[in-house]
Amino acid sequence: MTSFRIEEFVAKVLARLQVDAATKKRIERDLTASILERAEREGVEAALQRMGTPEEVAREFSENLGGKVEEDRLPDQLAQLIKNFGGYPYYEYKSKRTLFGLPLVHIKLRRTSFIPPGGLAVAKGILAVGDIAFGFASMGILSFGLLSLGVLSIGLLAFGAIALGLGMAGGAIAVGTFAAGAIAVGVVSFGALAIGHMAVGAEVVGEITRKVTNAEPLRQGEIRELLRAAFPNWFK
Amino acid sequence: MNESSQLKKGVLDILVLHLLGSADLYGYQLISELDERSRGYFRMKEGTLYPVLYRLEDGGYIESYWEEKDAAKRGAPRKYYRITQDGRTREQELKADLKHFMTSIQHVLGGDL
Repeated sequence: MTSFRIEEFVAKVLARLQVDAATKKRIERDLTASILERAEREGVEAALQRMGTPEEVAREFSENLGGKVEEDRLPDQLAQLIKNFGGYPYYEYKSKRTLFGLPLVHIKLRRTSFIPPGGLAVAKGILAVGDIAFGFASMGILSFGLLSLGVLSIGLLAFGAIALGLGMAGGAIAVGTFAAGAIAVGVVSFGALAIGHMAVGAEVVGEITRKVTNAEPLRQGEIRELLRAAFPNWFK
Repeated sequence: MNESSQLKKGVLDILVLHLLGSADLYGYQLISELDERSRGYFRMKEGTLYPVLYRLEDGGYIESYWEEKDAAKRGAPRKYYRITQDGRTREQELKADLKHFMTSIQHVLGGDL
């Protein structure tokens, strides 16, 4: 049985060769057989080591067959990705319909991680998805919008690892009028550490506070009582 | 590619035909034989050998066949090459050309070689 390492090596060589399909097939069989013959004597790893890199093997075949070597300066996976997707390192969808001058949907995602040529993907739309996303509804590593979701999200309603919400925020660190999170800072806050005018949590700092413990868990209806106490004009 | 490589490639056809003239060989055997008999001068890899074999096979000078190993040996199938009658004729023609080539060089260089 052909070892996976040999198949992988041969596939890398073939990926770099610009020759017709029949020649590729011929090389695939012969190169595999030859490496197996070497491997029988010295083991797979030593045989592959002796072959040189896939780039070198492909170049040698190309020189002697009069073919070309493709993308040999690029890392393997990147070369394959760029080849597959026509050279553009992003997946991008932008709807034709617009609202307030913005596309209804703009999605822009990197195909190639952070290595060049794929820089940050910036999306702007009513619904925006990207590394950095600006939109009425946005999702991204950094997201800004009325409703935003991301590692760092800022918006009217914001959710994420770090969420800054003018209205409501939820996240590991949440800052907002209403904030809920491991660390929550807000007018009304709920969290392991809750800081606010009304604060509910394991550790609390504020004017109207309720420290929640195993011995004293929240009772049903208690939130309403706390809200009445914190905002007597709003909650009666 | 340096001049030495070009010179080597120019004589590979004749060397391969010569080796196959005495026995059927598979790819790695050809590589090993060329390496050993030339004391390392013709140390080549698959990327050089197989294009030579393809050219000779397409020209009808050699032919190939796969030989399955028996189950007891549990080895991979091997592709053997053997010389054809046209190949033997071609080998003689190339040897005559080479002899003429070397003689001509000796005439030019005289005792300097």
